[in-house]
Amino acid sequence: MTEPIAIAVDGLSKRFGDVTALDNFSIAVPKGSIFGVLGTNGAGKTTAFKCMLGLARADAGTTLFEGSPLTPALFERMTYVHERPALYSDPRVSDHLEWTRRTYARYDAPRAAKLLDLFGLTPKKRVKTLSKGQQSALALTLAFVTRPDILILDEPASGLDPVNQRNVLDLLIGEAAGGATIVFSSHAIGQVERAADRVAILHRGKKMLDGEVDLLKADEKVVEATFENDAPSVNGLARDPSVRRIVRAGRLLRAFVRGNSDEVARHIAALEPKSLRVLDQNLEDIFLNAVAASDGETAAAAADLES
Amino acid sequence: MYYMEFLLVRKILYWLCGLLAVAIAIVSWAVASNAHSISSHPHGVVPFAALLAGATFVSAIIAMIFGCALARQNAGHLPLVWTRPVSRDRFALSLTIVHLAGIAAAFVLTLAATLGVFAMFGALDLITMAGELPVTPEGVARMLLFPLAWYGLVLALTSSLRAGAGFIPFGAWILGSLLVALDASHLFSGASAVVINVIDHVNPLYYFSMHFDQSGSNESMVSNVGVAIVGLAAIAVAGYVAALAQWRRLEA
Amino acid sequence: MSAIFTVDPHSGVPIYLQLIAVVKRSVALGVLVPGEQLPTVKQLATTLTVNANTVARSYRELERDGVIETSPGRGSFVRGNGSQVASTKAATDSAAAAIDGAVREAKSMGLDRAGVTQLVEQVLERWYPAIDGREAS
Repeated sequence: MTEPIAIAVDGLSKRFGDVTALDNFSIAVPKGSIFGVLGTNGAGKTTAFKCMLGLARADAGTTLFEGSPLTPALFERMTYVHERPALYSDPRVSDHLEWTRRTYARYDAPRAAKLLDLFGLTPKKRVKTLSKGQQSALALTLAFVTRPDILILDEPASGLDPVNQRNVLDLLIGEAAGGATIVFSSHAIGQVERAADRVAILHRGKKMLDGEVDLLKADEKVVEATFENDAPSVNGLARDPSVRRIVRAGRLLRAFVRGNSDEVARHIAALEPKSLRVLDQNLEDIFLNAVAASDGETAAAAADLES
Repeated sequence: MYYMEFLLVRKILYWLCGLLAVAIAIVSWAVASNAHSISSHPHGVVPFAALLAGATFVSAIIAMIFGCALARQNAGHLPLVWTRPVSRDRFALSLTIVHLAGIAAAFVLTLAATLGVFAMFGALDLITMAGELPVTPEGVARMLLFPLAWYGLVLALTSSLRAGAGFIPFGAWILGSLLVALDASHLFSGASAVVINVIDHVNPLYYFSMHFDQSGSNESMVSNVGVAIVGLAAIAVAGYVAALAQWRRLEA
Repeated sequence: MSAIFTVDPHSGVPIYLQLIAVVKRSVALGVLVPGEQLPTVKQLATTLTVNANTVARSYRELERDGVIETSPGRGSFVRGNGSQVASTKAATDSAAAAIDGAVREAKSMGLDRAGVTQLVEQVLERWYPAIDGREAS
């Protein structure tokens, strides 16, 4: 089942002096899907977007949009919203809309009015008098009002109140349902969990995980066993490719598994634990595990037991 | 593409009009309080070239303010500006279109204001085209190129900056004046003098200085103006090209 | 109609599986009747604020399982024949899984078979109380 790929990022890397901001970042975004890039602050999400869009020069790697490299003409159908609103301070809301209207053939005036209403924006107000949340809302309005085929959004709902956060998610979901391709970054796991088809987890510039949200949740499990005495080491468990991480703390043993959880559970059951259960993982669990796996065992074990 | 810049240019021109109005008011008050000087006055003592020079000076200041336009974009607006459906070069060019119109408007407004004051007091015949400072086509051309040279120069100096660009026009003007003074003063000799003179060739003020006009013999004064025209045009174009080259390579 | 569909996006259970379970349960209980129209994929996605492809996936599986049928241009409807059976089976399956999990948990807590049976009897008494010696359903 091959879907057409709207955006193909391959091997994007970027260093700033000694710091590797992005290391061999590759994703494939199917047309009409919503792709979430999840990561902590400084993980490289913004760098990735800037390199994809030619705002910064990647040290290596390519980005293809519908099979071709980026050209200015593509921005007729593609919009980008930066995490910090890049709007001009002195002009008014209406000026920004007018600028957009004059630049884009696809400008949708009724949509503009609806969005202003939705976000509670007054046309006459100067941008410098708007709150940060309102500025973000305006930036999003300018992005949606041109009916783009591709939307790239860096932390789209940050700075917005919960009602508008929900509005933005609804807008994204509606756009994608109408055929638009959306890539958005967030450190709010809940947003990605709701809206995204696929998610990629970025940590310290490296991609830790990439998959469909539904399938990741279905596959990722924790097999948890409690033993009479200290948890034994389980022969062969670490060698099982579906076991991504094993945490042992006193009498507790946890095996983080991708797929094959029944098999692993049987394997552990053979050691006759006092109790054995298989736990689901939500996206937050999956995210924290991926990050912890990269940060090392000891820190992870401590954090694990705290939650 | 240039709509936002148009709004800014318009705002700056409004301010200019306001300042000109204030200037007119002050001058009118000064003249009116010296009522006796109005009734009888000699004809043709004010060279038109001087009025043109005044308008040139004002439009040069305006041009330098416009020259900070790329730096203004760099102060946080690049994610918006560089994701438009035009290349960076074309975007910069679209700004320049508005700037050129604005510089021309500033020139015309200032000249009109100046002439207006004269007209208000029925003193238009004070002005002459001939005399000690004649109005020649080359002279006018040199004046029109002066603001453009500053525009190109300031653009080149600021197109990579993200903040503090406002100091450049100010500093460049001071530095330019200093350079001209140093060049003309003959304080230095030998290699240092040559170096200073060479650097001075990138200074638009140089081509307007007495020092420049008087270099060489009197017959070559006309060709001096020709050289000035070429020099100023070169600064304008080279500066613009350098500005775009930098802006192309900038990272958001 | 849309009040029937609730999902927890933050659960470890994928949203599409939750939706499938909700629909099957509703059909089994008669909350959704044969011939009743479901919301469109886009409508449900925006109502629940969840990804539209996730909703589409659940509709596809429901169709594969014979619970609903989709006609292009007309929408998705609960199937008349077979849907009830499919849903009831699904309801039984999910109940079986829950009971299995509960017994396993009890065993891991140290209860023996007799203890578990006693617990089950107590719970049954609570949910299916015997009235005048007869069991009610």
